[in-house]
Amino acid sequence: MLIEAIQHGLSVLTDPLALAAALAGLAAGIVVGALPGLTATMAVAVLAPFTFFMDATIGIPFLLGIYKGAIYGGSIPAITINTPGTAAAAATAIDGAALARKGFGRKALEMSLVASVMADLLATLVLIFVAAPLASIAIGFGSPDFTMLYLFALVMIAGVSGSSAAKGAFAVALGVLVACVGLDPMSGASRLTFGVIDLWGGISLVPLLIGMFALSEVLVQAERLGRERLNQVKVEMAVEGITRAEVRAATPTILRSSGIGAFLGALPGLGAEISCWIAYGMAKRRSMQPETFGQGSLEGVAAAEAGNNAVCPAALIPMMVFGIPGDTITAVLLGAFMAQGLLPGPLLFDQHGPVLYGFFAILLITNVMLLVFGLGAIRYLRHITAIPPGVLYPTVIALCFAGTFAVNNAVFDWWIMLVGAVLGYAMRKADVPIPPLVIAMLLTPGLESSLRQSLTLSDGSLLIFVTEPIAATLLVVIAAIICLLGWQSLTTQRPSTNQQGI
Amino acid sequence: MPARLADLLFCLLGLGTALAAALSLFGGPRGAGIGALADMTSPAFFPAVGAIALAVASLAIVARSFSGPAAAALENPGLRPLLILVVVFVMALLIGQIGFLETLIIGLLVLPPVFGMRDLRLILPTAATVPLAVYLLFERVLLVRFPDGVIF
Repeated sequence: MLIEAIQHGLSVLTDPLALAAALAGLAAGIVVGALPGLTATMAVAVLAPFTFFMDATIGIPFLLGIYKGAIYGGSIPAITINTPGTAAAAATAIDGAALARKGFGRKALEMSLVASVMADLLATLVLIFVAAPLASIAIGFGSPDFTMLYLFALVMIAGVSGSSAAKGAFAVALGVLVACVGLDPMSGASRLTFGVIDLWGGISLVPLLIGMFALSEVLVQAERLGRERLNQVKVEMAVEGITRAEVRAATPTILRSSGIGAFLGALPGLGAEISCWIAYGMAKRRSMQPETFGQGSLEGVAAAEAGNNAVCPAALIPMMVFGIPGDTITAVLLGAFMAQGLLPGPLLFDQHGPVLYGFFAILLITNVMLLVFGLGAIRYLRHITAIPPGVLYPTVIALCFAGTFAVNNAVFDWWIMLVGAVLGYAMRKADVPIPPLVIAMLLTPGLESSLRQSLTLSDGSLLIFVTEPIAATLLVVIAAIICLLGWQSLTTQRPSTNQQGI
Repeated sequence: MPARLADLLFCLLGLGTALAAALSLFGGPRGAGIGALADMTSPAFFPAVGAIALAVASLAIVARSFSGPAAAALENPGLRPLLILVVVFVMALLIGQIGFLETLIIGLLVLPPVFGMRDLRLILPTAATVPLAVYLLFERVLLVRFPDGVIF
C-alpha cells in the first residue's frame, strides 16, 4: 500500500499539468509575497476559489506553490526596501536591508533563496516521514481523544496569539459563535440565524476569509499610505553573488533554524512570524560573530529565512493528520482540501494516500523550481515593489469580489465578505488576533460532534474524558497550559503583535 | 484613539454579541430555554458556551486594560479606509443593479484616486483592462455566472 502510494507520488512528477500548476502557483506566490502589504494568507485566500474549478491533483499543487512562493517572496521587499512583504519576513529585513545598503543586496537575496529552499526541503522530509506514521496512530483515536485534541488546539491558539490571552480567548469565542450559525447538523434546529434564511447554511468560510485577510489588509495598507515612505535600495546585480564558502558557513545555522521552524510549525498557533524571530535569536546566540547581527549578517538572513520557510510543510502535519490547522494559511488550505473532497483527518492517508504522496512529491519538486526560478528571476523580482498602490489595491479589491462570488455563486457572500473586512480591520486596530477566530471556526464543528459522540457513548457522563488514557493526558496538558497562561498574564505584559498576516 | 477606549469598545461589541446570541438561543417562544445549558448534547449548548466565553473574555480585556499601565494610543486611521469601505459597500449594492463588469469598471475608476493616484494615463487603462481580465477569467474560463448587467 505504502509502496503503491509512493509510486503514485513519483508518477505525479511526470504529470505536466500538476507541475505547471505548481510552477504557476509558485510564480504567483512570489509576486504576491514580494508586494509589500499583500500577505501569503491573502494570496492563498484570494486565489483559492480558482482551484475549486480544477481537479484536486492540479488545484492543491497550485495552492501549495502559492504558499511556498509567498513566504519566500516576502524576503524580497524586506531586503530591497526594508519593508517585509509578509510578517514572516520581518526578521529578514534587519540584516537583509543592512546588506543591501552596503551594496551586498544580491548576496542577501541569494542567501535568502538558498536558506528558504534548504529549510523547506528538510521540513518537507519531516512532513513525509512523520505525517503517515502519525496518521496510523491517530486512527486509533476515539471521540473523547479528539474532543480533547480540539480543545488543546483552541487553548493553544487562544493562549499564544496576540498581545494577551484575553484577546486570544475573545477571538476563539467569537469563532465558536460564528461556526454555530446555521442549522444544527444533528437535530436540524436553526441556531443564531436571526430569521435570515441566507444564514441557514452557515457563514461561508472563504468569503469571510477574503474579507478578514484580503480586504481588511487593503484598508490597513491604505491607512499607511502617505505615512510611510518606501526607501528603495538599488540592488546591484553586477556584484558577486553568494559563494559556496558562504553557503557552507551558514549551513549549520540553516539546519538549526529549519529544526526550530519545523517544530514550531507543527504546533497549532505558532506560525512563521514567530519562528523567524526565535530562529534569528538562536542564531545570534550561537554565532561566532554575534556583533555582526543587525549590521548586515548573511547568517542572520539565513536564520530568519530558514526559520520561516520550514514552517510551511510542518504546518501541514496537524492539518492533514488531525484536521487541525497550524496557522491561518493552513486554515485556508484546509477549506480548499475539503472543497476538493479530501477530508483532513486520520483517514485521509487511508482513503487518499496516493494523492497525498503526489502532493508530497510536488512539495519536493517545487523546492527545485523555487531555486531555479528564484535565481533566474531575482534581478526582475526586485522591481515588483514599484507597482503603484493605486493600481495594486483596486485590482486586489476586484479579485476579492470575483473570488467571493465564485465560491457559492451567492450575492449574500459579498455581504459576508464586507462584514469580515470591517471586523478584520477593527480587530487589527485593537490588536485582537484574527487567526484564533478562523481556526476556532474551523474546529468547532469537529469539537461539537466529537463531544456529542463521547457523551452518547458514556450516557452523558463526563468521566469518559478521564478514563480514556489519551484524553486524560491531553486534559492534564490543557489544565497545565491554562495554569501557565494564567500565571504569565498576571506576571508579565506581552508586547503588541499587530502582525496578523503571514 | 486611546488603547483603553478601543478595548472598551471591543468589550461592548463582545457583550452585545453574547447578549444577542443568548436572546436568540434562550428567548422567545421557540427558544431552547436556559435549561438547555445543562444538556451538553442540546443544539443550544455549544453556542451558549461560546456566548458565555465571549462575555467573560470581553470583561477580561477591559479588566486587564484598566489594571495595568496604559498602552500606546492607536494611530489615527484617517479618512482613507472609511472612503474605501464606502466605495466597496456601494459596489456591492450596484452589482445587482447594473451588473458585475460595469460595477468593477466604475470601482476601478473611483478607487485609484482614493489610494492617492491622480494620473489619468494610469487610471484609465487600469479601469479598462483589470475588470475585463477578471470578468473574462471567471466568466469565460472558470464558467462563473456573475449577475447580469445592463450591457454585459
